[in-house]
Amino acid sequence: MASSSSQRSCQQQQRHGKKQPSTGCTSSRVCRCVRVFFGHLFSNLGLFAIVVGYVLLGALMFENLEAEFELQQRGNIKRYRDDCLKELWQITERLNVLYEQNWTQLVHEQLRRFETNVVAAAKLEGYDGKDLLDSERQWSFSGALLYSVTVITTIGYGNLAPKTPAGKILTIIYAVFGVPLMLLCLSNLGHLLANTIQFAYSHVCCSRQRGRSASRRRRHTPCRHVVNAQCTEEGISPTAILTIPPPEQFKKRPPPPPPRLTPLKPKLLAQDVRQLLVECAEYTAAQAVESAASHQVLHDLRHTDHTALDDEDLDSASRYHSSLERNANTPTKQPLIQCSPPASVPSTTMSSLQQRQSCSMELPAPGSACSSDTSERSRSSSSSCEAESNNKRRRVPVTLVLVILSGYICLGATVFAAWEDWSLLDGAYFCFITLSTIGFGDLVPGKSFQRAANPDGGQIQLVVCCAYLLVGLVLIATAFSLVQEEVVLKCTKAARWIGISTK
Amino acid sequence: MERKRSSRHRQRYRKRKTTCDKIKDFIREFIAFMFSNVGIIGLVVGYTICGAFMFQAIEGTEASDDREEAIKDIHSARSKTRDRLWEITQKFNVLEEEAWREQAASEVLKFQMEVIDAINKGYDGVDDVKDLSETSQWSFSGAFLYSLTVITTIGYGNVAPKTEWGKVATIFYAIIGMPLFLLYLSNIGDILAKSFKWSYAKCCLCRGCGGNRDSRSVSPENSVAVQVPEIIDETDEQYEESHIESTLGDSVKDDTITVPVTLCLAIMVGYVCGGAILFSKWEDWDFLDGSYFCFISLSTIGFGDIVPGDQIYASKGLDMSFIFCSMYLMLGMAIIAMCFNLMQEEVIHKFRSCVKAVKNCCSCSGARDDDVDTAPIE
Repeated sequence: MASSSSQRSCQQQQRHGKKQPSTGCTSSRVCRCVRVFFGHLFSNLGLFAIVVGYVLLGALMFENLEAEFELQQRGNIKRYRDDCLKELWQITERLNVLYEQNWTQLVHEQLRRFETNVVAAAKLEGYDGKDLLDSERQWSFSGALLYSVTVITTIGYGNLAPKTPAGKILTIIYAVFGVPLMLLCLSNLGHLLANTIQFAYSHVCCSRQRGRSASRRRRHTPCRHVVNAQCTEEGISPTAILTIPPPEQFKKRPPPPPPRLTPLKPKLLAQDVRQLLVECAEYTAAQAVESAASHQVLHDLRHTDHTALDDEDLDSASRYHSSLERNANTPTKQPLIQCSPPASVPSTTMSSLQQRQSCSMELPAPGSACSSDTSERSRSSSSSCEAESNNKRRRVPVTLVLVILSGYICLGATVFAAWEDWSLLDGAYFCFITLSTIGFGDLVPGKSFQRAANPDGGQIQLVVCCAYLLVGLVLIATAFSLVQEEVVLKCTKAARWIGISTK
Repeated sequence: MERKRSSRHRQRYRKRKTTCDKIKDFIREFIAFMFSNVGIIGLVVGYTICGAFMFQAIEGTEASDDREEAIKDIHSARSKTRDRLWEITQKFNVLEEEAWREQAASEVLKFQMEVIDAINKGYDGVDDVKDLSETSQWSFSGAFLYSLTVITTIGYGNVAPKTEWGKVATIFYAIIGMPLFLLYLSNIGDILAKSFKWSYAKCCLCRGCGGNRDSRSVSPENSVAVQVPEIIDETDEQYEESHIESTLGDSVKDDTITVPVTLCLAIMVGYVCGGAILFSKWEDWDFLDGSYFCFISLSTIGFGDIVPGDQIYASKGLDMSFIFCSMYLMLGMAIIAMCFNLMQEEVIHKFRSCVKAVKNCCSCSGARDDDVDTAPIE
């Protein structure tokens, strides 16, 4: 009876734990669908699509608003020119006798006035020197696209700026909604890419570590004998014995009885043995088995010899501890064997005791995790890899990130310098000013298309510039996400070194 | 005897050591102060001034050379067109309008092209070479505004480096200056947010209690000043926060007072409008142009099509407007940082409650099914 009721409660627990597929209820299905939809909408891809749609919408709106004004300006300049000519003709007609001095003076005045008009138009109204008959416009679709992108990324070139009042008001409203949207999208994409790169990097490092960890395991097996020798030498005061058995012995083992933790003498242990003991003691503390004793052990280990356990070890240990809480599988392959031999036990019986218990005595874990632990340990290399990645999260180094960024800037510099006939320095300067969102606008790709034969080439360049911009900003967001922790750590260290922070 | 000498020697040695230590301590304190809340303003201003001098030295001469060239080009273009027109006019013994116009039109068009080229080179209507120095773009105030736009990433572009050295200097100046300005924004925004929250809480209390509470001895400046420098001791800061809490009284807890989002938005809008009114009065713009300029500058978009000081060529006016513009920008960005700081909690809180509500809504309907399923087991 008891077993059946426990079985039923187990089933109940399982059902509550697992996600139940709702068989007949449509409303819950609809709810789930809605939830999934909103999840995807605010996920990375959805945000990116929203941003792209917003930019295209902005391009259409601005093109419609500003293109007319641009054509109007060209018409104005033509009018100024015609006026100038008319004046010149009238001057020529009026003077019946053409004296060069008078005539040239008057003509000079007219030219000066015309020139002032042109300068005012160019500076204030954004006139670019083209004629009414020219088909290329500054406010083409790709020009307006680049403009929208520069508004929501706050780069703001300024070579193309709204001149109509409606355009200005629309720019303000467009920026108020677009800038936060862009920031959100960039931060999301940056986090996603940063996690991916971190994962890939730790795996690459991990595969290199595999060779090293195999050799390390081979090095550790003689350690067993060293520890035993120390243990036997110690004799009277009981010590904890650590052995690292080969993995095959873990396959089919019943959970051993809980050990009795006895006080240690850590000073006599070897360096890496002590480190392993720290980890195991942490594990015990995490599992909350005989917590007082395990904490005592931990305390002993930590405070007896500070030189052995410096900050980094404690950091890794605490990180390891927190990672333990996160996932239930066994973190390390090195179990702890507790043997509490009485003082008079001779060495031979101790060794036989060890051989019988044979080291597979692992610290008791919660029952459900037991089988998973043994299966975990049977997978040798991957779990050691996981141990490595759990122990020391491989952070991508700052130098690598900086190299990637400067490589991207150099790539952009060469491409734009080749296309726009700039020098390499001009190209790098343009890329840097753009990606840092300063955005002067003195050098903008697509200006040279005014001199080129085909007008379509300029449009492609503008679109490429937009794409380069967006990808570059995502890269920068990724870089920030990757190196943030390390930079903050280094800054606090530097501050502590200078003496600003007393922490 | 020997002992006395040795003790005196030890004392002297200790004194020398302490002066060395004193100097080190002084340097440390100075650096700490500079990177603290108040000192960072001075650091940013000092960095901008250094940048202004640097860019003025690099670009000033080169720019005036370019502009001189542009002016010479304009002069030659004008005289060339004039002479050509005279030739055309002389050629026609009988002046026919159509024929004359055709030929003159092409000349005038050529003249227009040359004017455009000169504009691209930097010509802006100033005719005389003598007037150049007064209206230089790279005066001290112009270079100051330029440096400020670089480190705030506004980047107007009406003044931009044309020499190679100027461009390289801009890149390195930006690499160091942008993090510095971000540090300034975060620190000053923090201080402003805390003091604003404190005074808002006071106002709330005073209105709520009907003036029963007598004025506390702790004034906002004191509590803020004691928090300076923030970096030095975080434990002190915690003490100060609890101190503020205790002064606010038992009935009102600090965490329940959040400045409403509408108030923060109103502050930002008010600042933009205030700047718009001032600039439109000074620069002879209309209100829309003024608010457009303020918004575009404060959001660090910074087109540069409208910049104060563009139309006024009087030297005095130029300096004043640039300096006022710089001050407006620095203060404005600090206020925006403060508003973001204040709005953050509320926005996050609201967002979380929204998400929770949505989750509850969805899980409610789901939980009903679970109850139905598990009921017969019991």
